[in-house]
Amino acid sequence: MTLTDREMARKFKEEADQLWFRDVHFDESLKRKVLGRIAEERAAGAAGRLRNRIRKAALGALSLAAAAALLLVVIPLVSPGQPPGAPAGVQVLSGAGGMESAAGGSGVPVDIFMEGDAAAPAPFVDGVHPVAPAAREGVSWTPLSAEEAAEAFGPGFALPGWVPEGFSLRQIGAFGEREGEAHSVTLTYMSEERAFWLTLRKAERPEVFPARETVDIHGAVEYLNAAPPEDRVRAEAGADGAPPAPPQDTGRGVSPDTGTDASSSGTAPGAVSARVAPAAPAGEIVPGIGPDGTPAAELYWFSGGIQYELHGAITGEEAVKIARSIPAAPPG
Amino acid sequence: MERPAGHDDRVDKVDYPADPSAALEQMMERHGNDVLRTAYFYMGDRHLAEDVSQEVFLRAYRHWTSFRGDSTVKTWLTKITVHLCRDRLRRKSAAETPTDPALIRLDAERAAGRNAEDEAMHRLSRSGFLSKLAELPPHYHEALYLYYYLDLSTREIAEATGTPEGTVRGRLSRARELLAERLQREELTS
Repeated sequence: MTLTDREMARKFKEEADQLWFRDVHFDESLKRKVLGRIAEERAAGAAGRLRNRIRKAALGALSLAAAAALLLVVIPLVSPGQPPGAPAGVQVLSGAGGMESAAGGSGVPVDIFMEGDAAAPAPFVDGVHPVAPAAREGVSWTPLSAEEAAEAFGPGFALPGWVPEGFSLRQIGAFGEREGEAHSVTLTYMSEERAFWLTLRKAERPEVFPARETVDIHGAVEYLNAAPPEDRVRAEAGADGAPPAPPQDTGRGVSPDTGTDASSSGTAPGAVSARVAPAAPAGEIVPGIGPDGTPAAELYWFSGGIQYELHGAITGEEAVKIARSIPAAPPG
Repeated sequence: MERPAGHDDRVDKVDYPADPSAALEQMMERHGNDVLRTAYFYMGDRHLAEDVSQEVFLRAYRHWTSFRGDSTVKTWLTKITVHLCRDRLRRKSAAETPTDPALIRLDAERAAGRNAEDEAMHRLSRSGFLSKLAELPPHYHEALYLYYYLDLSTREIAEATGTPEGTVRGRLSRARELLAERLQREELTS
């Protein structure tokens, strides 16, 4: 660098610092924002991994049910020893591994009528729902306020009227074809120890998700993946399987099965619907329970042209209560 | 072209902690102002610049373990910043006029109720260097800023901007000539 260059550099810096960057400093507030976003990403990553595990568990249960149904429908057709008069579908597995009719066999009975599956969600193909919306191109941005997000999203945008104690809205993310016209909005709520995310996405029709259970949100059947209540976990675990860790908050609340207050609904403890996946043996990943024992839930519902997705470190009861506190979107 | 004198950032990746979180803290401490000001230089908007600078450090954090340290950390961060700014600017409506850094309106001035543009132009007119820079074609601004303000070498500017080093050298050389001419003319006039 020549002397002229050095002089130029000095003048450039001096004047730029005075004229352009006088008040432009990467201060502690910005540092905290970066660290906060990283903390959110970590939390989201953990929740995402957990959601994948839940989804895999639900898919596994569905696959198992489908395989069992196939097995028990196909085998009678090829089995020469079927006694006349025996119900075509009712089979039992013998202790020796062969198939016997229900009339004369012994062993563990298998329900192959699968009534519960009549309303089961359509299976995913390679983890992707066949009618899932195609990937969209666009831009993402961060609205500065809920009002700005509402304006960008349009009719139907509403915040939950209730969130668990200690939670507050920390961040809003929007995505759309162009900034200011949101196709989806994601709200991040955090407490000191937990976080959950609520996404509102414009959709033409309800999407179907693999679910452990269904609940009623604004009169429609919707999909919930969460830890079952403690008593049912024990009932499912069986005699030799240690029950998985129960969710932290299993007190009086909304039943994930019926969507009504569990204490007054009369739902018998231990009642297992065909949609509920069996509890995992000890040591395995338990859907609805985070790695550190915290609750985890995801809930999907559709209203007025908006597909809602709620997931995070909350209980199923909390998820349902949050969902119900959001006003139903007007018909799209 | 040699690295400009006064360049005191020869801190490479090996001088940073291997842990991404610890490295991030140091990167923000050492280069936070440079990243934010570079984003401001390109975007011409304080809020957008803050948003970009946060994104820069998020990306640096995410990719810290895969960053091989082929360039200095400062050059790497500048490259991320330039790419993010260009990406954001591309997304802006084509109808919008690109912001000239020389006409940046400072938020503080706006808050103080002054006519920011008038004030900026007034101060610019009193300045020796930047007023002359503003007279140059825009494609010289980037090279001058990165070279004189950020103290990057022509090779580092080439890397950060994705421009051939020869082009950077050419622009810088021509910009310097033009600036020197204008400054000399002003001195003679005064």
